[in-house]
Amino acid sequence: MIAVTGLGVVSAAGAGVAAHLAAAREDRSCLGPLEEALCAGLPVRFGGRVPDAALSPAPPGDRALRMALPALRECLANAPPALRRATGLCVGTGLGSMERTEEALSAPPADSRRLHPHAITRELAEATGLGGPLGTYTVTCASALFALDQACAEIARGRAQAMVCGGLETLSRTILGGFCALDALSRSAKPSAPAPRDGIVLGEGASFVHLEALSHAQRRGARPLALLAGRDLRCDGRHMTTPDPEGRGMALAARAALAEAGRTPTQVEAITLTADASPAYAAVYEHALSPLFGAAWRERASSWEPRLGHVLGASGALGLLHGALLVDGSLGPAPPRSVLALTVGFGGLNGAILLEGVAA
Amino acid sequence: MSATVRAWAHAQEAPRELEDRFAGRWDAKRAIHADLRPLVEAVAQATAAAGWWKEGAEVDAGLVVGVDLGGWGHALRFGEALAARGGQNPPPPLRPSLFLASLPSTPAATLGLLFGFPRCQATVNRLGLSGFAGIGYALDAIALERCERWVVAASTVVDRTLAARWGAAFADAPLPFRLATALCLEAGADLPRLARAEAEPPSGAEDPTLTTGLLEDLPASYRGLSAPSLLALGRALEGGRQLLVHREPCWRETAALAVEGTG
Repeated sequence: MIAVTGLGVVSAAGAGVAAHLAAAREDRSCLGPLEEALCAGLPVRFGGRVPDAALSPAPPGDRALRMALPALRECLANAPPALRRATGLCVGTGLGSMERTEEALSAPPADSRRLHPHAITRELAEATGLGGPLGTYTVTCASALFALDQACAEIARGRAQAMVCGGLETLSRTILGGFCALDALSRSAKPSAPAPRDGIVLGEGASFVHLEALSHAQRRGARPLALLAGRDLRCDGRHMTTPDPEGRGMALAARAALAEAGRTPTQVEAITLTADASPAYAAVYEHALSPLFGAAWRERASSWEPRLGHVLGASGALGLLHGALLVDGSLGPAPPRSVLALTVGFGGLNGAILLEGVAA
Repeated sequence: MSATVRAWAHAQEAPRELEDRFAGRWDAKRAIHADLRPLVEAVAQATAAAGWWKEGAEVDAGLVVGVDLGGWGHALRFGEALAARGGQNPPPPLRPSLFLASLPSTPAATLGLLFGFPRCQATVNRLGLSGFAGIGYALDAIALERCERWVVAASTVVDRTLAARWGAAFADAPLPFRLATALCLEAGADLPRLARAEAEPPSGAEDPTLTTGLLEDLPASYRGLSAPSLLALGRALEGGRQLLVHREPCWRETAALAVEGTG
């Protein structure tokens, strides 16, 4: 059994788990207007931008790294140097650092390797002393699920004592322009309460979880926050961007994650969602989850995205972190014993992860 | 844990009527993107040879695609189109197809549309090591019994836009360059088979086979990239028992596979 023993996050709510818990308790929207340089000429005006104060001061000018480093350092706060040398890092990101690519439009880069998504993974590992296996996955909004796959395999196959897996995405002009071209964004002119549900509001962020075998965590005295009890992934393969409107892949993924954990739908006490502000993905969830959990399934469901925005390649990792905080009791006095963290990606990539408390 | 290689194929181009093979899954009037045609052709050849696919059917297997630089040239062109919007009123429309072509996941998503792959459509992005990393991903999933059949493919595309901004690496290379390689792996002990291995062979062991040594017919600039690495693997499967080592040229990251071929 693999346990979650560390968490770290940076998003529009700021840097650190505490900032995110505060935003959740206050039900505070962290969305705001975007800089003109980002959205000039585009029909988008607001999103979930990471505040400057939440960014690491160095290296200057490199937003992806400055955003991800504080999250990774928080995640590794209880990992001593010797363990870090035997810990690997798997990162999911939709496009990597588009800021670096955009800079390359005006001047050739000094080191072209830094334009590649894997460069971020290497730089993060080097900055934090991680010496284990590395992996970089670029599978749109489901990227972090594939990073999780490799991370779990590295531990199960004995190639790493622990793994950090997560995701990151920065809001760039390229990404905003791309989603405008796809007509996938909310047309609302400003943030509203409740958050608009006519399309996605983009955000940015980085989210990481520290994973190790439960027995390894117990031997070193690390407190498990949650257990990965089951997980599954299904792919619709019917359209480049839109999912199966019947939600069949999501239903299969959810059922398979429950089956792996030996749980029934009635034992799932909470559900976390990503991208459900998109009408297409809201329909996926409705069709997939109503037969499993009943028509009132939304009473068990929650998402941080209405407050933070949809963080693309980091969204699966943010959902995983949200779920771990739910079962850990950080978000309320009566924590759910089982949380089903659901993630969707472009074109119908459907991921389900069942998280449980240690005593479940 | 080893896996049997049921079939493999590589392609640098595809027949004109490629789209016709995917009736019901693809509108034949819409051309498959030129960068993706070799990949589609290689996967079609490999899965058909393995007996896993026939026209109109779905491949019941996991898919992992290793990409290195493909898409990045399109990302640059999309960025240029965005930059140009600032000075025009009204701004010209943005092409969604250009944005999709710039996403590293689009090759796997396209293969998903054409062949199914309901269990997994992963994209590994480790530059020249992506092909071997994809093999590793599939071998782990087989060993952990998460999915017993895999198509592992790699696509290498270097176009002029990309080459112009990627330093001197492709300065003397023929452009554009497109190559795709695909292997069908499944649980089993038949030959040929392969397994993960340490990149550094134990002392006293025979010297490893370097992938570059099996790729002398390709321009040197491309031999360290991901589709060539799997082409070398396919060729090694026709040899004997060997440790095959691939070293990507950018960070000098290395991966190795223990190959037991049919030769």
